[in-house]
Amino acid sequence: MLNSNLKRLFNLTQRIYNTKHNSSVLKLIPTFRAFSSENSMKQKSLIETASKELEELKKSYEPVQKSEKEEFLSKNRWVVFEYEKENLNYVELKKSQDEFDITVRFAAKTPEASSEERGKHGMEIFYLFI
Amino acid sequence: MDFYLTLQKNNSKSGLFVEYATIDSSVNINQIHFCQDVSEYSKNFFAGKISEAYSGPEFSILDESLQREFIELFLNFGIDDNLGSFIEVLSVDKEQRLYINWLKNVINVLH
Repeated sequence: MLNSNLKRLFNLTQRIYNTKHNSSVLKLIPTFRAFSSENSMKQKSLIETASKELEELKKSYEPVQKSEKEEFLSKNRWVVFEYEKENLNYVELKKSQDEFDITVRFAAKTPEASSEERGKHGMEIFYLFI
Repeated sequence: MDFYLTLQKNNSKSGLFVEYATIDSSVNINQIHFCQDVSEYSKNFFAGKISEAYSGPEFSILDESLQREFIELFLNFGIDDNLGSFIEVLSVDKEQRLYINWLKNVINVLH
């Protein structure tokens, strides 16, 4: 008798647990779908904005002319190191003169100007002094 | 913007490590450090490790004649305002390249 009651009680508990468990899972599925869809929209929107920014930059960016850069460097006998390694955020100039090894090091600098002015800012300074 | 000059006699470890700043392309010395081992000193400096060794006074409080002599010597090595302007341009140009590359990488991660 005791065993039988315990068995019934166990089955009842199990049914309640299963019902609650399943219902809460079922309730969560649409929420997950909503989150997933919302994130996907945000992701798409971010990609579009970043791609637009990239295209704008490519149009407005005026890189330092290789010939002008090389003219300055050779005139002053500097050799640029690690400039082309994109993952390093600094540049080194080196030369030997009068028994000395000379190194100048400086970091990449974020221009203060807005996105539209990126790339143009540096050239303006360059033309002022060269 | 800040930049750094190291001056090391051939076949010697010791030398000078000079802190500079450009203001509108004009170059200004902030401090001149003497180092027993320039390479090691620079490495630690850029890694943010502060040396406990005496590194000399601030440049602006050095005797004026000594300041002039240092400036003249470094000018002779090409550390002048033209270099200051070149550094300002190249540092922005370098950042621009890094930024374009970063944007491409970010887009690739999200695609």
